[in-house]
Amino acid sequence: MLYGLRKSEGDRMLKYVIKRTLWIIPTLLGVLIVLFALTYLMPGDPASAMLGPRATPALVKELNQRMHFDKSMPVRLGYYLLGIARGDLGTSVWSGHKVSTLIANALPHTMLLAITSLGVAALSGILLGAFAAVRRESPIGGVVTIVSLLGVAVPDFVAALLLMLLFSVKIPLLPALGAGDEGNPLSIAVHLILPATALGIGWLGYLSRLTRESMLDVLDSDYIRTARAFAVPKRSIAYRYALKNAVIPSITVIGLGVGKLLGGAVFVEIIFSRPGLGKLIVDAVYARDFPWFRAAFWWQRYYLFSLILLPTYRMHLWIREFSMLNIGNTPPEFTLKHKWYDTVRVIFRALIKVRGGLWGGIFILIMLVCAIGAYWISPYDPNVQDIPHRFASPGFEHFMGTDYLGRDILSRIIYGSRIALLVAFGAVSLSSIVGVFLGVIAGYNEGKKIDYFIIWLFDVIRSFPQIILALAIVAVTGPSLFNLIVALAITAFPFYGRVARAQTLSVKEADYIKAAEAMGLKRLEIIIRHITPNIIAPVIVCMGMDMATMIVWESGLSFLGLGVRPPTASWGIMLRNGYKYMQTSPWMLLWPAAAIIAAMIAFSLFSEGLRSSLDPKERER
Amino acid sequence: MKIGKIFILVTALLLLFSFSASAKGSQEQEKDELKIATWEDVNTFDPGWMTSGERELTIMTCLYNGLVKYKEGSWEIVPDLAESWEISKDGKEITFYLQKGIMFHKGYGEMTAEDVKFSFERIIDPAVESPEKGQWGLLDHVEVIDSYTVKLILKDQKVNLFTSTLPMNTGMIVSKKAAEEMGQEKFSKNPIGTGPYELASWDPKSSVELVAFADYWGEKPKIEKVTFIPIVEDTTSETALKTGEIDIGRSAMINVNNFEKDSRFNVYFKAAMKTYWLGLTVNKPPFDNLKLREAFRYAVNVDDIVEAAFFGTASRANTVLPPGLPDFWADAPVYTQNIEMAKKLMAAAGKSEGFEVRLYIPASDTEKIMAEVIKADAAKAGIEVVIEVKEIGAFNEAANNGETDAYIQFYTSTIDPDYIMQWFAAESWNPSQWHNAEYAELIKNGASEIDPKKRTQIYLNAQKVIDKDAWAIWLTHGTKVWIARNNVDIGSIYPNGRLTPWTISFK
Repeated sequence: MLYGLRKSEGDRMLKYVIKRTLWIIPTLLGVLIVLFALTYLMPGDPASAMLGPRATPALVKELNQRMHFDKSMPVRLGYYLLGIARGDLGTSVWSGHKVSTLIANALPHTMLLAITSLGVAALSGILLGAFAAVRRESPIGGVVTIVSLLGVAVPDFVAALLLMLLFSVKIPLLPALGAGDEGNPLSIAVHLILPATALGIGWLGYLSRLTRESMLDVLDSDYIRTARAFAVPKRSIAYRYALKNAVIPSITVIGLGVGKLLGGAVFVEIIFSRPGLGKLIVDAVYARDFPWFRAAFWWQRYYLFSLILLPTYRMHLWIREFSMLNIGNTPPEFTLKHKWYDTVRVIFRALIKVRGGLWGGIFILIMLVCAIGAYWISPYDPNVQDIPHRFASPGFEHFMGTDYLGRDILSRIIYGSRIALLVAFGAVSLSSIVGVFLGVIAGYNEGKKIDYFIIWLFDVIRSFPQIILALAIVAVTGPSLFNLIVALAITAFPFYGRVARAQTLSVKEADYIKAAEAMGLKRLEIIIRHITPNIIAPVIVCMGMDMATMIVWESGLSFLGLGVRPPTASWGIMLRNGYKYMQTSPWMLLWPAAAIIAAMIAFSLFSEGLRSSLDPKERER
Repeated sequence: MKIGKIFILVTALLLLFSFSASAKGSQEQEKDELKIATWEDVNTFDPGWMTSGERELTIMTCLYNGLVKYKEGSWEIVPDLAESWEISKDGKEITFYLQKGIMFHKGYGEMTAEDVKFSFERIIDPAVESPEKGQWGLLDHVEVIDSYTVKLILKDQKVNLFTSTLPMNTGMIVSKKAAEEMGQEKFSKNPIGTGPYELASWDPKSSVELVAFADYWGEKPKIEKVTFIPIVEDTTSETALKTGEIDIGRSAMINVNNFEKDSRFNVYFKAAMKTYWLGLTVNKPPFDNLKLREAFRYAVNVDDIVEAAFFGTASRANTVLPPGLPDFWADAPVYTQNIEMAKKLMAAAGKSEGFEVRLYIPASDTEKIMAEVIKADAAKAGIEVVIEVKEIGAFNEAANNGETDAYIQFYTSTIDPDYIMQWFAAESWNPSQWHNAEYAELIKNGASEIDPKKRTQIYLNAQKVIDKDAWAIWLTHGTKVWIARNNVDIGSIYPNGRLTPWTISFK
């Protein structure tokens, strides 16, 4: 009786788990092929990366032969699959070590980091959320709101940089390097504090809010009222009866979250030089160390699959519940008159009602104005260098100071909003258009071959941690604005696809679709004119949330040097330069960090407002 | 109740964390372990297959000895494993008399003439393809006369044998028994030498741990254990220095000042003997035109570039060889920015409206700063520079295939000019695709010219040939900066900034 299911559901679940497990096989195959393709297409051969300027052509040739790099594509794919079938992950070009050894060395560091940060965040987040719900009137609720907003608004790598600046550079209290001495638990624990905090802070915020909301729902429910009527002590009601049920959504999210967490771990591991999986993968991409890169990637997947498998079933139920209760059950306004401008009007009307959303919207507007009017607004040309006046601290002449080439930081922040918005809008619209299109087609053709193919495609791409996939794609195509947008869009479209497909499943049973079919309308027309407008509301909500994510990833990839070309002003690049000079010129780090956090808050508030304005249940409150 | 307990537990854990943190902070540095930050991890410990002098040479000098060595802290050649040597009249036969009773690490027995023969001959063995084959190109074979006497037979006189080949990695003696027993692959991870330190463990991308070799024949190193930690980011190294996680490290050039002012640290500057240059690819437009190359040379402001990237710690370069080498061209012309001259030359080449240059750079901060300044400079002359940042693998490939219009690159020099200059006469690693018969001839003659005066003249002429063709804008020879915590006596540092860990001690 897992998760308190009824007995008849137990059988269904078993079937589901079997189906799910079998599904992993084609998905894994797809993942392997994508991995192979990525490394096959990656420019730059590992031999010259590894051997450096001292390599003789003969040596390069010899290495390429040993690693089969000189063979044709199908032969290499064959070698590769053969190796995996034999359980041989290959040998790292870089160090000559067995890849399996490298992974075995790195995995514990990442696991420890992930488990610690998630564990501490979950424990404290759930307790904080529950406490805030029980003491609804106390200031704790406000604290939880602020913590959760901050948690969501400060991306893990920004948190990592700020924590390092504060606790290692300004007050040298905590170590900032490595994973501690092996076999010394104290040193390992001390080395975990900053990275785990950086990684966990977002989860703390998210989980505390999730628990608070679901706890509020549960506390309103009938069985709690009954328990109250039976004079069960208040505390027992809250923590013995209510919390058990209220915690379910959080647990599901945690299960799924491990994947995201590993994505974030990449940055945290790099910033704190922890020898974990994420750092291993990025190092391998840099060194063009293909076997290593593929295997690390693959193992990370494998480990994820096993972790995700269990919670997936619960997640499945939860998505269903969520879509039925909230935005999924298309509100009557949309079904009756499904003209697009009605949708827009409803959204705006509702948005204005929610104050946070309004503030978010205003800030986004300001960003837009900055981005468009950067030329007129910014006090200086963002690229004009003034080497004698570099590293000027903030003052009258330069409000935010100058950077390492004497360029005005304020102007660069303003111009940076251009890149941030361009990438966010570009990636989100591209991924949502492709995702919705595929999702609707899949949903409308439920159970057919094309449906399975599209789901398979979604699952393959979703199997990669988004940020790492984006990183690999940019590494293949070379850093540029356009490539960045495409890479981010590729990683994100399956999520829109899943939402669109789920929505389509419920919409296509509606009478007006049946009527349209009976009238003999073409399928494409039904899809475009009748289904898509009716499923668009939840997609818009996702878009709002995704904008924030894309801004963070743009900075993240730029931070790793995979963003736009220098000297273009981008917040991520500025952050990276700030990081370099944070000992002496902390403002170079703080301003772009502040810009990113402000944008995150704005988009979170905005999408939150959007969500609650589109949620019929919220609207009643 | 339950919740309360959890809260207490969490609080207790947090308290423990903070307590242990402060305990760690106040702990005195353990005196028997030295931690040094390196720039990246090593690939191999086998001196015959060294891939990077920057990363691997210091560690190799701890593990191995050569027949001769550079005296710690200078370029003077002094005996190491060899007590003395004799050179035949024609300079083609050199006899070395070895010291007796020198032991290899980990019980691999006494070092004898057989090991010397093996160490050198394996590099010229055509079957194994060592990248150092070129260095030993003039070696014919090695004769073992008795256990402690060995004779090198050369095909021709080799001018840089003592200055560049023997005291570097190419001259290091490995254990024949160990290398044959393990095979090349395994040996590169399990080095057996006679050096002051032996390898304790290698955790890739994380640490290289060396411990003092108990049976070392020379003066015992002062510190029992030396750990090299690969740190890619300057900032990480700075932070680790401040938190005491490493004893010796580096910092971004801009922050060096700060460390100088801080009494907890000592700062050591050395000229790096590298050469950074802005190279122009001559095999295709726009820079197949000499006038445009000269125009570009006038458009950029080298002093600004160097100032911006090195923050006043390095001075500009005017030729390929670093100063201090006997063949250094001291009177090389100093090109300063002259936009009008640049425009005049462009007009003469029929490009008065300007042109586009794709500048390739590796993804490193120093090169990025240089490129940004170059872009701003060139724009003044109407030249549009597009910066292409590539990962090092892709960069090397593009540069070697001549896909770039321009690029920024650096090579490292030894005290012999041939080491750095021969690449521009070679097929590989000649990123400007510049082929000049006169230059190639000069380089070939220089390698075996015994008369120092004539040799100097040869290399001076070669430098002038490069200058005339204007395919390189020399930027700087760089600076090597080490920052050590003040309880460290850093011992002797070679003039190019290479550490000698066995001379380092704690105060």
